[in-house]
Amino acid sequence: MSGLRQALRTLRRQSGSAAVVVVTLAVSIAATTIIASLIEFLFHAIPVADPSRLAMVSSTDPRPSQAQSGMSGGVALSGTSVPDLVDWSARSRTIDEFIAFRYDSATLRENGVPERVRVVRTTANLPTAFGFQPASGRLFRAEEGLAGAPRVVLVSDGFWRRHFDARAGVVGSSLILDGAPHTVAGVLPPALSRGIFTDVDFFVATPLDAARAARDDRRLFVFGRLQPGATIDQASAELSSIAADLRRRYPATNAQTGAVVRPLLEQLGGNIAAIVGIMAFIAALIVATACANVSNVMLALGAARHRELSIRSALGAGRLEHVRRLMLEAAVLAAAAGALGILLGASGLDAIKRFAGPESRLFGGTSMNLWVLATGVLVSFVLPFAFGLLPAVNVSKPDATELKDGTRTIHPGSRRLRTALTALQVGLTVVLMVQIAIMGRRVLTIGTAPLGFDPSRTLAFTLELPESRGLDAERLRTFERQVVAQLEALPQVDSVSLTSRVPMGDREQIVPVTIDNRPAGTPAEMPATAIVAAGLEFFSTLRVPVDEGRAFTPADAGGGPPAVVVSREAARRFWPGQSPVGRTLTVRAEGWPATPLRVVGVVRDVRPADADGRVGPQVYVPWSWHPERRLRFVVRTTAADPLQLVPAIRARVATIEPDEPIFDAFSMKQILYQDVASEYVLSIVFTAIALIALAVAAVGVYGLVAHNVTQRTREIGLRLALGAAPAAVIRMVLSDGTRPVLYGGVVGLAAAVALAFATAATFLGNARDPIVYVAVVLVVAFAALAASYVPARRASHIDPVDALRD
Amino acid sequence: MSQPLIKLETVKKVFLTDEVETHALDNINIEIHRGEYVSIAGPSGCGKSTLLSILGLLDTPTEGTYTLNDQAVAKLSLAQRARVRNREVGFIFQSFNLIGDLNVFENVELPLTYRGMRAAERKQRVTAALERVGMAHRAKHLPSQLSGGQQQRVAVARAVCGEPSILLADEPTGNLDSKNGEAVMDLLKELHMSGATICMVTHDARYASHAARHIHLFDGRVVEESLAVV
Repeated sequence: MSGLRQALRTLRRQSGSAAVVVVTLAVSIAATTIIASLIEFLFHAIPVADPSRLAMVSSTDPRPSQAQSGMSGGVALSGTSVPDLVDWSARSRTIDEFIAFRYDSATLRENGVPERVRVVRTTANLPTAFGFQPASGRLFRAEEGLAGAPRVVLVSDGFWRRHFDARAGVVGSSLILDGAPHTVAGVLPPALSRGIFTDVDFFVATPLDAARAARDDRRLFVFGRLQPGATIDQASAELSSIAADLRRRYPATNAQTGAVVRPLLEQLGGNIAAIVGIMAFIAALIVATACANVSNVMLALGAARHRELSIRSALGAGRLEHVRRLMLEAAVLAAAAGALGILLGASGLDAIKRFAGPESRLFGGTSMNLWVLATGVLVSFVLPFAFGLLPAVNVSKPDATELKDGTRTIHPGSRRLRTALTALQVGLTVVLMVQIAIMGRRVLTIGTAPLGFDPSRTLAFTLELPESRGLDAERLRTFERQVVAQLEALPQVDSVSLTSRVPMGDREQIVPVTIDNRPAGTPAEMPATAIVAAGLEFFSTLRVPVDEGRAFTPADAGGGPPAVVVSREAARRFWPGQSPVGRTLTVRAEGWPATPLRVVGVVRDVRPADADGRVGPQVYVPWSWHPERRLRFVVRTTAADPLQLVPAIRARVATIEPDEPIFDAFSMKQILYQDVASEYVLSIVFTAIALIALAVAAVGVYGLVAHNVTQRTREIGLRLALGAAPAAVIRMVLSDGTRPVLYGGVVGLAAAVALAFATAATFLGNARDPIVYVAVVLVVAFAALAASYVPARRASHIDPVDALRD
Repeated sequence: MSQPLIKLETVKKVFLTDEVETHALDNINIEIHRGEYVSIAGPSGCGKSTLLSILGLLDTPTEGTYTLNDQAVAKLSLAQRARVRNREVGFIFQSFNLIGDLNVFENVELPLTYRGMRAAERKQRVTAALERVGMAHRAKHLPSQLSGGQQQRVAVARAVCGEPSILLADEPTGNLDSKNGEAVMDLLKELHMSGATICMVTHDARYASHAARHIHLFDGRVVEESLAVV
C-alpha cells in the first residue's frame, strides 16, 4: 500500500507528464475499443448460436457486378438459384443439410390498413440450424417447408415489441401477409435480430420449388452444415464439380456459374478475414505508437530521477526494487488511461453511429458490449509491460557517477533509446497513414467517380403487385400509365418513370446477347450486358445524357418494332469504332423475347452499385416491352428534399392500388450514400485515427526534442557563450528532431509500401498511387518539423548566464 | 597611452524579479588595456559574476556604455553579441564546461565551427592550442576520461584557439586541488607572457596575486583598484 501511495505521490509531482501519458494511452485504447466493437459486430453479424460445421455456400460468377457477398479469389460470390440449390442438395455427399433464405418484402394487412414489412423467406431449418430456441411458441417444423404446407411465420423480437407492444398471446394468432393468412408459430429471441437479420420483421417458411423458379434467378443466400469429418475444402471441391456439370447441362443460364464453400464469416464478404485482420493490425499499430510515445515520456521522467535512483541504490535498493517501483507507477497510469479510454471509446462510438446515420448497417449494429469492454481492460492490463518495462529496466541501471559532479550533459544510452523509440513511433505512424490514405483515396475515387446521372431532387420507391392478382402484361402497362399520370399531376413533380433497376440501388441484371447477325456461339461465348427495362421518361427523369440518336418515345411503347438504347460502353464493346444507331441486338436470356431490338440511341454510362466505379455495357429496353410485377419508380421533383412528397405519392398511388402500399422510398442521394456508407464512415474513422496517431507522434517528437533541450541546457548555454548564433542553436536542436523522423520515416515508408501491396487485393486500393506516399511523407515531415521548432526556438533564447550557473 | 581594449563607463545593472529590483552593479568604470592581467575580487554577491557576464557579452548593462576593441557593444542584438563574443572573448569556467559527448579535439574546435572556418585551418589551430596546453596526446579522449586538471587545460585550449582579444576566467581553479590549480595558473601566466589579455575572477588571494592589477568590488561598486606589488 505504501508503494501505491508513493507511486501516486510521485505521479502527482509529475502531473503534467502523467497527464500526457494518460491521455495518449486513453486515446489509443479508445481507438482500439472502437475497432474491437467493429470486429465483434462482424464476428456476430451472422447470428449463429452453434457455428460448428456451418459454412457459407455460394455460386460464383467472374463478373464483379454479380457479387452478392463480395469477391473471393477474383470471382464474385453471387446468390444461388432454387434449381441450382436443389441439384446441389440432391448430389452433395459432403454437406449434410443446406439452409437457404432470401430477403423480400410483403404487405401486412391489419384492420384493412396495408403495411409493408421486411421478410426473410427461408427453408424451414434456418432457426434450428442456427441453434436458437424460440422466445415463445416454437420454430418451424420440417414439413412446413414443403409445398402445400400451412403458411406459418416466425415473428422477430423487434417486430413483436414494435407492432405487438411485446404482449403475450401473439403465438397462434393469424396475420394477413400478401393477401394470405399466416399463423404465428413463434417469436424469435433478440439474438436472431442482429447482423444480417437486423430490421427483419418475419421469417416465412418457403418451399424450394425448382419447377417454377428460374435457374438464373440467383437471390438465395445459402449455408451448409458439413457432414461429420468433411472439410470446407472437400465440400468446395465437390460443389465445384457439381457446378461444372450444371454448366454443361444448362449453358443458357449457368455458362459462367461456379460454386464454392467458404468459412461462415465470408458471407459478409470474401475478403472479410483479411479486413478483420487488417483492422486488428491497425489497432495494434495505434497501441504500439502510443506505447512508443509513452515509453519515451517514461524514459525522460526516469532520466530526471537518475540521481534519486542512484541514491536509493547507494542506500541498498536493488535493481528489482527500482523496476517494481517504476512498473507500479506505469500500472497506475495504465489503469487511469484504461478507464478514460473506455469512456472515450463509448462516446466515440456513439458519435460515429450518429454521424453514420441509420443507413449504415455496419456502425448501426456496433455496441460497447462486454466483449469490447474486456478488450479495453485487457489492453490496459498489458500496456504497462509494453510501455513501462523498457524504461524501467533502462533507468534502473545504477550509475555511481551520478553522485558526483560530471561533465556529462546527457545520458547517451538513454538518448539513443529515446531516439529509437521516437523513430519507431514515426515509422508506425507512416505505415498507418499510408494504409489509411490508400483506403481513403479509394473511397474518394468511388465517391467522385462519374455517376452518369443526376441524383439531386430525385427519389425512388417500389410497389409490388402480388402474383395472386394474376396481372398480365397489358394490365401491368395500363397500371403503369395510370400511376405515372397520377404522379405527374402532383405539384412539385417534374417527371416520373418506371425502371426495373434503380441506378446504384439495385444489382445489375446480366443477360447474354447476340449482336447484329453475328454467329451466336455457345452461351459462354456470347457477350453479356446489364439490362434495364426503363420507362419512357427514364433518361430525362434521371438526366442521363443522350450522346447519340434519341431516347425512347411513346411510339416505342406501342406495337412498333422494339427499340433499345445502349450505353457508351456497350457501343464501344459491341460496335467498336462504329455508330450503333440502326444496328440490332437480341437478348438470349430465359424469360426475355428473342426479338432483334433496333438501337435508337446511345446514352452516358451509368455507374452500377458495388462495382467500385467499373462500368460494363448497359442496354435499356422499354419497360412496356418487359413489364414486371415489382415496379420501381423514379420521380424527379422540384423540392429540395424529395422525400417531402412521399406522403402525397403514397396517397395518389393508394387511389389506384389501395391494397399494396409503396415501400423502400429513398432519395437518390440516400441510395448513393448507402452504396458507400460503411466504407465512407470507416474511412473517416480511420483517417481520424491516423491523424490522432500523427498528433501522438508529433507530441513524441516534441517531447524528445524538448527533453533534449532541457537536458542540454547547460551545453546549449555554453555553445551560445562560445559564440553560437541563435540560428545555429535552432539548427542543432532541429537535427535532434529530424534524425529520428528521417530514420523512422525511411523504414516506415518501406514497410508501408510492402504492406500496401500486400493488402491491395483486400481493400482494392491502389498501392501504386504516388500521391499517397508523397502526401504522407510531407505531412509527417511537416508535423515533425513543427513539433521540433517550438523547443528549438526556445533553446535559442536560453540565457547562457543562467544555464552556466553552478 | 593606447586606447583601452575594454572600457566600461558608468555601467549599471539592475535585475527585476517579482517586482523586486536588485542593483547588481552600480556606476562601474573600468578600463583594461591590451596585454593586461587583471583580477576581480570581492565577497559573495558583490557582482563579480555579473561584471564578468557583461564583459563577456553574455549580458547587457542596464545603463552605461561598453566599448570592446573600439566597438560599442552594449546595445548589440543577440546575434551580433554572439558573433563578437565568438571572435573577441575566450571563456574559462570554474566547472570546465566541456561537452561530454564531444572528444577533446571537438570541444576545442567548437568555437571555430561557429566562424565558418575551413576544416583544415580549424585542425591547425586546434592542434596548436592543444600542444600549447600539453594535451595534444589526448585529442581523441572524452572529457570523462580526463582528470579535473586536464579538463581545465582543455578548456583553456578552447578559450585560446580562436585568438580572442581577451580571456575571461571565472574562478578557474575553483574545482581543482592545489597542485592542479597551480598548474592552471602557471598556464595562464604563460599565456599572459605571450601577450594574452586576461581578466580573472577569483576568491583565492594566492591566485589573485598572479594578476598585475586588482579590482575589488563590494555591493556592486568598485571600491578599490590596485597594482600588484612586484
